[in-house]
Order: sequence, then C-alpha cells, then structure tokens
Amino acid sequence: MYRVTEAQIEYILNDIKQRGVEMEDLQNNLLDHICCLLEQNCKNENDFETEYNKTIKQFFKHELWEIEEETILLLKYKHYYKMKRFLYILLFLSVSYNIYVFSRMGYEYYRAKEWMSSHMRDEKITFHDGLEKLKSSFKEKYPNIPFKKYRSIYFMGSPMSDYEKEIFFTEADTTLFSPTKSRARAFRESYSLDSLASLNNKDITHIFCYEGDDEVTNKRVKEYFKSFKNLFFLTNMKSLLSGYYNDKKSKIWGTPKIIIINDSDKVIYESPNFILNPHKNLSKVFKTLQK
Amino acid sequence: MYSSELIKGTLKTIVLKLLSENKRMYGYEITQRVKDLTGNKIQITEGALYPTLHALEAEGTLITETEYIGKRVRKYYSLSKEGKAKSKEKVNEFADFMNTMKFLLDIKPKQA
Repeated sequence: MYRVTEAQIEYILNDIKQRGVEMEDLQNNLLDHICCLLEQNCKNENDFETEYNKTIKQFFKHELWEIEEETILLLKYKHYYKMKRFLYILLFLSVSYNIYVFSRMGYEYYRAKEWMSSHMRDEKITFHDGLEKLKSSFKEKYPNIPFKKYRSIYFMGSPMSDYEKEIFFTEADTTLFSPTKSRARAFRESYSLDSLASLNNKDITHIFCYEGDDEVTNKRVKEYFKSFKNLFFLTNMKSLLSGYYNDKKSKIWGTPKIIIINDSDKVIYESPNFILNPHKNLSKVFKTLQK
Repeated sequence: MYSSELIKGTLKTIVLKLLSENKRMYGYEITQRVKDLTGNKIQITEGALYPTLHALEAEGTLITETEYIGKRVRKYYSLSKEGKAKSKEKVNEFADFMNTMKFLLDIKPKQA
C-alpha cells in the first residue's frame, strides 16, 4: 500500500491553507482524509499529483473553504440556540430583578409617602391615632376633665408665609421671646400638653399643634392661640403622632396637610397637599376654625 | 445513490449510530463504513461530514482524541455520555419518522 510522504503531507497541508481553510482542526481532518484516499488510490509516487488533483476536487463544489464556512455556520447555529437560551435566562432574570426593584421602589415610595404624610388616608390614620393617644393621656392625667368636644388643626414646621403671619399675628412681639434655640425649646416645652391642660380645665375645643424652630412664628402662634377660646397650642407634635413617625425617632419636618375635625370626629376640612401649596390655604383653615 | 438532501437530513443519525457501534472512528473511516454498509448507495461527502462532526463535538455529543500518523494528525471521534443517549434518541426518532413516511407514502396512492 502506498504511503504519503512527509513532503507530500507538507504540500497537501499548505495547499489546504492556501485554499482558505483556516481552522487548524479542520485542516488536520482534511489532511488525514486526503492522505487516506491517496494511500488507497495511488499505486506509486508518480500517481500523487494526478490523484491529489482528483481527490481534492471531491471535497467541494466551488472552493475548499466552503467546508469551513459550513462548519462555522453550524457552530454559530449551535451558539445561536445557546445564545437564545442565555437570552431567555437573562430576560427572566431581568424581569425578576425589575419586579424586585419596582416592588422595592413601590415599598420605598410608600414609606416615603408615609414619611412625608402626603397620603390623605395615612395622614388621617396618623392624626386619629395621635389624637386618641392625646385623649387617653389627657384622661389619664386629668380624669375629671371631659375630653369630648374638640376641633383640631395641626401642622408641622413653619407653614405660614410672612403675609399670613401679618394677617393672623398682627401684634407680634419679637422681644417676648429670645430667638435662641434654647429659649425656643423652652417655649415649646412650656406649651406641652401638661402645661396646656393645667392652664385650661375646660373642654378642649381646639388643639393646635405646631413644631418649628422659627421663634417668631412660635410667638405669633401663641398670640393667635390666645385669641381663640379654649384653643390649645400643642408644640410637642410628636406626642400627637404615633406609629411610623415615633418609631423612626426622627425630626418631623414639613407638613403636607391641615385637617380639621369637628365634635363628631368628622373631618370638616382637609387642605390640599400642603407641600405643594404650603401657604395658600391657611386663611380658609382659620376661617373654618372660627365658625 | 441517494440524493444529498436525504443524506444531509440523516447524517447526524448515521454518524451517531455508527459511533455507538464502534468505540471510536475517524472521518475517512466513517465515510468508508457507510459506503461499505450501504453498498455505495450512501456516500457521505467530506463537505457535509466534517462540519457535522465539528458541530457535534462543539455541542458535547462527541468527544475526540488525536493520534499522530507519521507527520499528520488523526482525529478520532467517540460518543460522550450525552451522545450515547442522543444516538438512541435520534435512531428512535428516525425509525418513527420512517414508519410515518411509510404509512404516508403507502396510503396516499391508495386514497388517490
């Protein structure tokens, strides 16, 4: 049996490369296959060239690199399905992640909303809960004082514009309280629930809650408080609030709403979102309160 | 000789079946075995065989080992564990296909 020589192997390999087959693995496969065919068909070395030219042609229709092209196509086809499966997994993970993120965002949004008290329902619940707490603590401290009638307005921070301050607190005495923080704190403390309860033993008509660092406003609020009969100015806002806010033990800032509740616990006034429109509604609020 | 379309569609099955019956085979050996077994009715072309072998190797159906024959390298193909299962699956699928075709082609002329 004829054996292909090393020089012929070299020649065939070079020819395969020259014909555009670049994959080494495929080059070796073709080389071995061609050698096998030649060893079968050649009788001696003289037949090599003729047999080789005949043999190589049976490997392709037009060009030898077509085999490599077909191989790459099949490999890509295989990868296409792998890629497709990978993309499906990626899609699934992405959707799952998005669901997680959005639910998390929703949760955070809910918490943020709660934190900002911007949701009416949450606000009411917080307010009512706080009020109940206030009532119960009041009753506990002063069991003989009825706590039946009340109208309430509450807000936090400094919601009044200078214009509104001028309207409602015309006799502002800026010298009454020192604008230092310690004095302001003392002011707030002096108007805590206990102080207020001791000052007024009648039925609570109004509860006015306010907490802020603005001493001028605090003073004006106090003045305003005096002009209403049985109006309680409650500076320690946190005593009114319950649940989430107290758990957070964080400073309460800003206010989204003003809610006024009548004797029958009915909400008779709710301001629009106070954060969006912090000053416009106060006049209406106080008018309602004076009825 | 059967048409290349028919052979192309069954090439994977042929290769897998042959390898399930032989521990390992190289490309030329596969073509010769098919030729011998079918009395030259089926001649696998190199242009179809090697892309298929590479694809089967890439998907893990076949495993390979190389041996030097003088200065040239010979690549032997054998079935992987998955390949053995796939071989049975492919042969069964083709047997079922043949029965269907047999039924289809036998019945149709009668209906006409």
